[in-house]
Amino acid sequence: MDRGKRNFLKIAGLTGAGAYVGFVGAEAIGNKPGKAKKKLALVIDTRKCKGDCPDCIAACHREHNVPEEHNPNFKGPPVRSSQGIKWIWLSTFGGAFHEQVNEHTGRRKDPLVVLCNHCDNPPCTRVCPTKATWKRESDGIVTIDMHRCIGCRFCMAACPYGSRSFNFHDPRKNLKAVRPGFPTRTIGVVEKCNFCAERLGEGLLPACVEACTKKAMSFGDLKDKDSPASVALRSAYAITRKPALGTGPEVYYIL
Amino acid sequence: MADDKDIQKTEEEYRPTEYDYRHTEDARSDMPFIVLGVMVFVALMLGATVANRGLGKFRSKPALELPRDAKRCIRDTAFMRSNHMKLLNDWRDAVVRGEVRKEKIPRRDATGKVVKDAAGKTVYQTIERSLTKTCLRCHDNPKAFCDRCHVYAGVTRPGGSLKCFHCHIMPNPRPRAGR
Repeated sequence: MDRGKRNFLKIAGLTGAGAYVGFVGAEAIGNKPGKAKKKLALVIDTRKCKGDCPDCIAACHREHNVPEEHNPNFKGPPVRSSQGIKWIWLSTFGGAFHEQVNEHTGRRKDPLVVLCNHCDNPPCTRVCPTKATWKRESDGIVTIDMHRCIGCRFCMAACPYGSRSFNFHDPRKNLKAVRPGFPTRTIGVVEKCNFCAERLGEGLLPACVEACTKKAMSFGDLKDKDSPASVALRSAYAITRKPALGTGPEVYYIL
Repeated sequence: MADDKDIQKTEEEYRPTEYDYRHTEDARSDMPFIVLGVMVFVALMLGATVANRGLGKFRSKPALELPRDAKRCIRDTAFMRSNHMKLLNDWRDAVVRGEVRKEKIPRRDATGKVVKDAAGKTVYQTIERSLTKTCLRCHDNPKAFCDRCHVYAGVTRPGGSLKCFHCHIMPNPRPRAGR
């Protein structure tokens, strides 16, 4: 075996080993389900929430400067319903759980509160061409960097829950009052519920949870057995939206 | 072989002869257009410069509205003048990507000297990395500070505003004495 071939094999072997280590490392830091340190979740008890008071929606939209264009009482330039902005809104049982509909589900007419599910395995973050949206490693919140969003709307196509809205026009035009503490968005970016990451950073609960007068929402870390969300999930059976898709939603509904 | 030679000869015969166009009537008649074109070009270039700000105004520095009560920035003036955009980008990345909202900086007195405690150790203060909560708390009129300098430096078009404030909310400027 001549020296040239020997060296070539050595280098080839090292390259292979390096590539293997690289792949393993990439897997370890890649976007894999269930690796978040915390697992923040919201449990909505529909036995308490009848969807008849808009407290959580009003609180969220006030907190985050979301224009209430889809609100029937909204007074402003008309906006196509498909172009409204929503972070948390009302849906029907059939709309939220279309796999669970049977001939008797229509007997209960209460609307359901729906929002971004902050999935364990979010399809929206995977399609983002600029990595403007990602699942936070610290707490599992699916968040958006508005500075980086180019408004391609791939994430809106990928989200099976319709949780994301696109700013077709300047949102400030339709805001009645701007709350200075939180930035508005600008034309051409996608936005959605952020699980009140900015409030959690200050040790507060999400605005919707805090605003709910019926105490129908329990929020907390599912890796902590004593968090309100864990306690609520232990107390009753709960379902998630479209579980067959494998997205692992972190918003649970007690029926 | 004889046939090839014949073909070669034929091609040479049919090659068009070079003709010098430089001294024809056509070329000389282009000259006025060329001179006119150069004059228009120079006029446009100069005109743009003059129309933009006026030649004399370039030398005068913009009158920036400095904070009313605060005397000390989180970094020194020279650093902020050349690196504020980098600092803002770093803050943005730290808060949005790194989830670190607070930052420790050495406390400075009114003369700009770093404050030391009795043991000679630097005293630190914690600030929030936030455009609206930290920067704009003192610089409460970005139109007369950020925009005015950016327009002067040609970063923003005259009358325009920074993209930051498409989303981040501009504060209401506090009234100033003597205005």
